[in-house]
Amino acid sequence: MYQNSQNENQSIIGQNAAGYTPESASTYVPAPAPSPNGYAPNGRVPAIQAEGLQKAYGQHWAVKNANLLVWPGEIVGFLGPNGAGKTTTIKMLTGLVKPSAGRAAISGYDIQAQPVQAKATFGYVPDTPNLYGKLSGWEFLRFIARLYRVPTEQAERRANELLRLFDLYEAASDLTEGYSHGMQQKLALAGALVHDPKVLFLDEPTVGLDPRSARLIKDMLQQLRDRGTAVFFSTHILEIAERMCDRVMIINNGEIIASGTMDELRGRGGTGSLEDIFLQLTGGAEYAAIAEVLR
Amino acid sequence: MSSDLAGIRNSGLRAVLSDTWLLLALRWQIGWNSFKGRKTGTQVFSVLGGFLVFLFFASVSAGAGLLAGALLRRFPNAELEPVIPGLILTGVALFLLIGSFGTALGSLFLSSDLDLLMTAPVDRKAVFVSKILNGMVWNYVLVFALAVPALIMYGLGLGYGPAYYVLALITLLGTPLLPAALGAVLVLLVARFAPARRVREVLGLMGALFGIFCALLGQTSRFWLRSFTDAGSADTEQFLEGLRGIIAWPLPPFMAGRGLEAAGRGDIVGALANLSVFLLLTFGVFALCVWAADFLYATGWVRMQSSGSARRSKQRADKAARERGWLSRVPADVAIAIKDWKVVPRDLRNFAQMLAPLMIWPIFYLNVTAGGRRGRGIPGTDFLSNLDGVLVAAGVLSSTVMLISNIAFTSISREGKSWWLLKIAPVSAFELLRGKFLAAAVPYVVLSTLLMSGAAVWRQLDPLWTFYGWLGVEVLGLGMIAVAVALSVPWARLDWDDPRKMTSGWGSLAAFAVWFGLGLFGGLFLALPVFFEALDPLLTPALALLGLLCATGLSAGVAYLAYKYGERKLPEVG
Repeated sequence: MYQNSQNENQSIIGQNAAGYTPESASTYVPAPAPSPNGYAPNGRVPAIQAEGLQKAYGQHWAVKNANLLVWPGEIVGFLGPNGAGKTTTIKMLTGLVKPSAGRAAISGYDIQAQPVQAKATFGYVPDTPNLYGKLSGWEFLRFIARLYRVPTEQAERRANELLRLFDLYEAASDLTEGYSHGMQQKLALAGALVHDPKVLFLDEPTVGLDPRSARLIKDMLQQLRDRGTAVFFSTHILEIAERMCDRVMIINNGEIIASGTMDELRGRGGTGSLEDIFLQLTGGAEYAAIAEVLR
Repeated sequence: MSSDLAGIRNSGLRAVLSDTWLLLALRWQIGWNSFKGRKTGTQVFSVLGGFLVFLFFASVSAGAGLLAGALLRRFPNAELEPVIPGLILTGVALFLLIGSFGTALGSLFLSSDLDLLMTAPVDRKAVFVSKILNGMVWNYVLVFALAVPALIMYGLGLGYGPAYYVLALITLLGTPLLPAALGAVLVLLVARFAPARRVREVLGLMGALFGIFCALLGQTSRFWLRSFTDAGSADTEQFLEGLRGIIAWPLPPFMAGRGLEAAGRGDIVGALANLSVFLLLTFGVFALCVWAADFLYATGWVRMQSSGSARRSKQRADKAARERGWLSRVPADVAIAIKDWKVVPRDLRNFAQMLAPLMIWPIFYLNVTAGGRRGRGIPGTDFLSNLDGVLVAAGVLSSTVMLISNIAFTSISREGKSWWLLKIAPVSAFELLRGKFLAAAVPYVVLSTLLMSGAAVWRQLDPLWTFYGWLGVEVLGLGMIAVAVALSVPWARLDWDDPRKMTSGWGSLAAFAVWFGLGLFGGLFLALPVFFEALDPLLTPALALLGLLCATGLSAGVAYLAYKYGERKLPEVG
C-alpha cells in the first residue's frame, strides 16, 4: 500500500492538506479527515490523494503544489481556464506524466512506486480518445479486459452490457477508425468501465457527445458515485459541474485556488452561480466586462 | 460593431492569383518553421542527405541521357530522336502524377485546415490551386533530378543547338502542372467512393509493390536483357517501329518530345508549334481541373471526410459477440501480441513498410541458401565438410531477422497515439516488453522454421545437422529480436502518420552493432563442431552441445541486459 512504499513515517496527506486551498483551508475540511498514515480514522482509504504535486516544463510551471483528496463515492469537478493545468494534473494522477515533485496515490497505492496496483483500480478517459483504429469495438474491449485481468465470462458480460448501454452494439464489429468522435469517446468510456474501477478519471467527458449520450454519461456517473466509485473529471461546462459534483476544484495558472462544495464556495464571498464564482476567481470577470462593452 | 471589408478582394483571376500566393506563402512559412524547429544536426543531415540523393539520381539520369544521345548519333537509322525526350517527359510525368495523388490526398482530405480555409475570405479556387501546388517544390526537385540532366546530356550527345536547351527548360517548368492537377481530380473521384485513409493505405501498399517490382526487374535484368539481345534483327526492327509509332500519340509529353527534337534540328517553327500546343494543353487542363475540383466541392458531390460509414447490422454484431477468439482468454502479454498481429496486417501502411525488405529478401535468401558454390569443404579432407549447412543457417538467420525486425524495431512506436492505453494499464514494463517480444518472436520462429526446412530439403542437408542449425538460428535470432524490441523503447516515436517515421536511425544503428557482436560470437560458438570435426569426429557431439550452450548463454545474456535497459527506459516513453 501507498504508505509503505516510500517512507512509512511520511504521509502525503497531512491533516490540513485535505481539500487544501491557499485561501480556504480554514473554510473547507472534508470529513472524515485522514490519519497521518493515509487512512481515514474509520479505515476508509481515500480514492485519490495528492500532496505537493508539481510539474515543470523547462522554466514553466504547468502545475504548482497541487494537494487534493477525493473519497470513494464522491464526484469532484475539476475546473479551470484553458491551459490552467487540468489535463497535466490528471495525467500526473494517472501516471501518464511523471511529476517534477510531489506524490499521488490512487486507492492507497503510490502511482509512481506501485504503478501496476494503482492502475488496476482506476479507469481513465482522455479528452481525445486515440483508440486502436484497426481493432473492432469488440476486440478493443476484449483487449482492455485482458490487460486488466477481468475474468473472461465477466468481461464478455460487461462488454456486452456497456456496448448496448452506449448504443454501440451494432457498430461493435466494425473497426473503430470508422467511428465518429462521439462513438470513440463512448467506447473509450466503456473501456474505462469494463474492469469496474474504484476511481474514474475523465478529461472533458462530454465534449463531442450528442445531448442523449451526454445525459447518459451524467446519469451513469451518478450511479457510479452511488455505488462507491470516486469520479474526478475536468470540464468547461460549468452547468454540469454545478449540477453533478459533490465538490468542485478550481485551478488557475497551475495552482488550485479553490475547493469545496457549491455552498462552501458561495460562502467565500462568491455570489450566484458557479459561473460567477469561476469568473471571479480566475479573473474572467474582466472579460465579462469587455463583452458587455462590445454588446 | 461595424466591420471593415475594404481588405477583402473581389473574385476574378487577379484575386485568385493573389489569394493563391497568400496561401502558398503561408504553407511555405509553416514548412520553413518546421525545418527551423529541428536540431542543427538533423537539419545538416537532411540537407546533405537530400543533396547526395539528388546528385545520385541526377548522375544516373545524365548518364542515361548521354548514352541515348551518343547511341542515336552512332545509329541515325534508328530514327528515335523525338521518342527519347517524349519518353523521358512521360516517365517523369507518371512519377509526378503518383506523387501528386498522394500530396493531394493529404492536403485535401487528411489535413484539418480545409474547412478553415474554405470559410476564410479567400477565393475558393485559390484554396484548390494552393492545395494542388502544395507539393510543387518537390515536383520541381524531381524534374531537376530526373529530367533536366537527361535532356541536357541527350542534347549534348546529339550535338543540338542552344534553342533546344532553352525550350527544354521552358517545357520542364510547365511539366509538373498537368500531373498535379490531374492527381487532385483523381483524388476527388476516388475519395468519393472510398475512405481517404484507406486510399492512402492502398497507395502506400502500391508504392511498396511498385518498389518490389522495380527491384525484381533489376535483379532479373540479366534474363530479360538476354532475351532482348538474343532476338533476331526482324524482332528488333519491329520493336523500334513500335517505339517510333508511340511518338504520334496525342499525349502532351510526346508533343513536347516532338517539339524538342524539332528545336534540336533547328526547325524553330515546328518546335514552337508543338510546344505551344503542349503548354496550352497543360495550362488548359490545369484550369479545367481547378474548376472541376471547385465545382465538385461546391455541389457537395465529393465527401470531404476521412472515413466512411460502415453498414451495420444486428446479425453481424451478434456474430462478433459470439466469436470471442483467443483475445478474450489469454494473459495480458499474449493479448498485447495478439493485438499487434491483428493491427499490423490491417494497417496497409504498416504492411507496406514491412514489404520493403521483401525487395531484397527473396533474392538474398535464395542466393545464400541455394546459389553459388556448394560448400562441401576442402576437397579430399573432412575439414569444413558441413560449411554448406552453416551457410544455409546463416542465410536463414539473416534473412528472417531482416524481415521480422520491422515488427520488433517498431514495437513501441507502432502504438502511436494509442500508447496511453498501455501506459495506464496495470501491466508491468516486463510484461509489456514480453508481449511485444512475443509479437515478433512467434512469426520469427514460424518463418525461420519453414525456411530452414525448405533449404534443408532443397540442398539435401543431413537431418541432424539441420536440427542443430535450426536450434542455432532460433537461439541467435530470438536474441536479436529481443534486442530490437528492447531498443525500440528509448527511440520510440509515437507522433507519426507516415510509418517510415516510426524508426530511428540511431536505434537501428545501436541494434545493428549489438546484432553484429551477437552474430559473430554466437556464430563462432555454434560453428565449433564444424571447425573441429576434422580433428576428432568423436568430439563433435560434445562440441555441438558446448557450442549451443555457449551461444544460448550469450544470446540470453544479451537479451536480458537489453530488456533491463528497455524496462528502465519504458516509463519515459510518451
